[in-house]
Amino acid sequence: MMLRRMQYEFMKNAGGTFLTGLQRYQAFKKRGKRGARPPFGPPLESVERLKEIMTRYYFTGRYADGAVPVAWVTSGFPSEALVALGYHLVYPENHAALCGARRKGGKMCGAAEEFGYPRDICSYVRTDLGSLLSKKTPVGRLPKPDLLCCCTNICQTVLYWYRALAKHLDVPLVIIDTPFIYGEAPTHHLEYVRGQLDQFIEVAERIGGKKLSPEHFVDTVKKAQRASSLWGECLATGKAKPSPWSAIDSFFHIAPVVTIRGSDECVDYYQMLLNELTERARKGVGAIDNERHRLLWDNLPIWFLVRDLALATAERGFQFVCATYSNAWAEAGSQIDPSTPLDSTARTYTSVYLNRDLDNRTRSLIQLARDFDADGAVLHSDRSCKPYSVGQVDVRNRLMEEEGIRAMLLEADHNDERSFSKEQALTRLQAFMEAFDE
Amino acid sequence: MTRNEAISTHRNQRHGKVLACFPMQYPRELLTALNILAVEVWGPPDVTPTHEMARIQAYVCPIVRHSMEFLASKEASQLDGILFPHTCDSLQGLATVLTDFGPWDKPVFHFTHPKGPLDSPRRTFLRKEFQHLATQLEEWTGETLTLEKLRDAIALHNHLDSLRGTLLEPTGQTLGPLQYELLRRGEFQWPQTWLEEIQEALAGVSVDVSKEAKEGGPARLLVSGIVPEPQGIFEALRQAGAIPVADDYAAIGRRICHVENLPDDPFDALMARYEALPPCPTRGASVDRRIGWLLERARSAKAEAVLLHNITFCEPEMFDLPHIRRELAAQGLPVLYMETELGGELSGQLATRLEAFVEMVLDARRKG
Ligand code: SF4
Ligand code: SF4
Repeated sequence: MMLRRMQYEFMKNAGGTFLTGLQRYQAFKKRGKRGARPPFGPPLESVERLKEIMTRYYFTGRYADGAVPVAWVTSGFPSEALVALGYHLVYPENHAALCGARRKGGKMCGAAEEFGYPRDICSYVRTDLGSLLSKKTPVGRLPKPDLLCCCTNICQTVLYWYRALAKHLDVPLVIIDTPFIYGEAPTHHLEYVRGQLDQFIEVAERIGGKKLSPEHFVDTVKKAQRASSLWGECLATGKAKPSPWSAIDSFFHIAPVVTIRGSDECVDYYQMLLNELTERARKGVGAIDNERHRLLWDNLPIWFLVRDLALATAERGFQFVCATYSNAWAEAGSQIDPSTPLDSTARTYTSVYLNRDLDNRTRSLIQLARDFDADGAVLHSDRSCKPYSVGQVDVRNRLMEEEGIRAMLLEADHNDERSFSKEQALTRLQAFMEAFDE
Repeated sequence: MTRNEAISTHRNQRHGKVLACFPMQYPRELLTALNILAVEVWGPPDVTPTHEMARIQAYVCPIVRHSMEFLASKEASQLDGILFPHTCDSLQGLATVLTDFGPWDKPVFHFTHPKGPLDSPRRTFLRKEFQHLATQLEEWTGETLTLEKLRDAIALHNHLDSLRGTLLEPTGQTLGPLQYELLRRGEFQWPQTWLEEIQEALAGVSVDVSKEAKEGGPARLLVSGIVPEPQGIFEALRQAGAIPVADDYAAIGRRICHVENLPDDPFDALMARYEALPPCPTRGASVDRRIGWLLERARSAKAEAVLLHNITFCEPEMFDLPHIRRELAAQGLPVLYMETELGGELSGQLATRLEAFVEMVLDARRKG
């Protein structure tokens, strides 16, 4: 235990930095100094820091079990108390996205299917269960959890997913059930979430072997809130013309606010990113050379296709300037009030984007399109994600009829490249873009 | 009595409202106490697709897609409102599409049952949710929900569940299309009328008390899934040489909750009945509980194999599949998994798989 803890601290503080520095040096030697690569503008400097943070996060994770308590957590889980209790957190969704972006999603989904999980289950789930069952991951190793924490505010699928994890791993599962909000949440719904938070903290304390210090908790909440606000400010720089970064960039830069929110490192990172983006906007440096049309992206990224999408759109002067997916993280976290940490956590985490009715979500999507002056929208109809996708046909129609925004549905899957034709999708996108110039 | 007849009888003779109720669990006792006829919408199986259905993507389950079409049709104008239990993401999506983008402009109610084990926050919440729904329905109907009315309605449904349970007991030759037709009539029938029909049917049923698989007799199956559609499934089973002897369909056996001694306080009684429900993934029951329940059902009915019959794209059911399959097989119960749409005929391919499976079960019986 002692040795394990020393290894963990070393990786966290020194070893991880050394290894990521080494990685950076090797990448630099291979690639040379990064400059503008038309049709793209100069790359963001902060990317290197992002890689460093995420590499260290996953490196450190390899040594976490046995050293500190480990929890596997859904992306929408109110994780601040866990951070304050010293847990190392693993976000299976983030891990699955990473596998997807490295085009390993399909293979891992296949491993889950071999075990017997049907192909129509969400591909994040199949990717992670496949990784668990095949013991393969591009990050080397994920630490075994002491606790599974699932919050249903993004979907019910996570409930089934974490039940399956509890079965495979034989570890306790905490469920925070957040009733879906139609209009306004009734008081007893919020009280219910609050009651579960109290209960969850007791379990986390027991398993973590430590009492939650109220000061430490409030401090963590403040940092999480600060990181979310900074994230929102970073996204808002995209309103500039040309946009200093793209929504596709934001899909990658979102990782710290998901995985390490509540830490100084997270706050510092977004401050650095914000400085860079503000400076680019001030100088008129765009993410692409020739921004002619500005697009909104709805739903999860198609992780294995994001680079192709970025290129296909940039070549024609189209730029994704905003995304409901990235924006959701700015909307939620910044609403937490550190003076009433538990009550405001209950309210905030219950009212996340995906847990609200379609009318509410559509208004927020339209506001986003207006704020960023988008003249087009691509709605990824994601066969793996029902909560995000059901209703998109009507949302598209409303965007076109009431807002005069050209919009298309792009049918795909966020992580499983096997059930998808890249050529077909890119052809549809080309046709959509051509219509703008007719 | 057909669905339309049940609706017009309720309107003309009982002068009550008609509420479309979505799968799966909702406190029907409250509706009965307030003179509301529950008309359940499990599809319906046969609808003619128009642009309404196309508003929901093809990768969403047919219950949701068919319902979209049905609720936009003329036939739905007979309904006064809708009740959506919080069953799954897809139904929740339908609820918001339908009300936020139309065409539904009549009242909509929600029943949010808690997910996960019924611990103290969940119990408190569930009780409040029952009360919240009761208040909303009172306002809607203009009726007052007296404790006495509620107590009577709970007793009626509890009795009904006990009879439904008896009807589902392994009765050898008897659990077949006719029983299923009767059990499913409750999806629109006024509870008291339904109870009388079941009582009458039970009087004519000869129970096969031996519960044993007989030499040359049909293969005895535990059936589980969402809803037994297409209805040809039972005829296909019979032709393949099998009968269902125990049932865990969400529309049927998985909703039976008979409580021997009901608490006097009606809201406690509602809680007790809710707690007595068989495990279901849509309420977050653990996989182990579900497996334990299925094993117990299979054993008490002397089932020889299990048919897991899912509706296409129903995620909640899919997650349990590999675990059920493995653990039941380890206990000597082979499992066949199949997915169907709602309407139409059972495909030739599925019928062949069913035949091969039943043949294997019968073969195993012969070999002892
Ligand atoms: S269903 Fe959607 S929200 Fe839920 S885990 Fe999958 S991708 Fe995420
Ligand atoms: S069949 Fe499954 S996915 Fe469809 S409404 Fe029922 S529980 Fe939901």
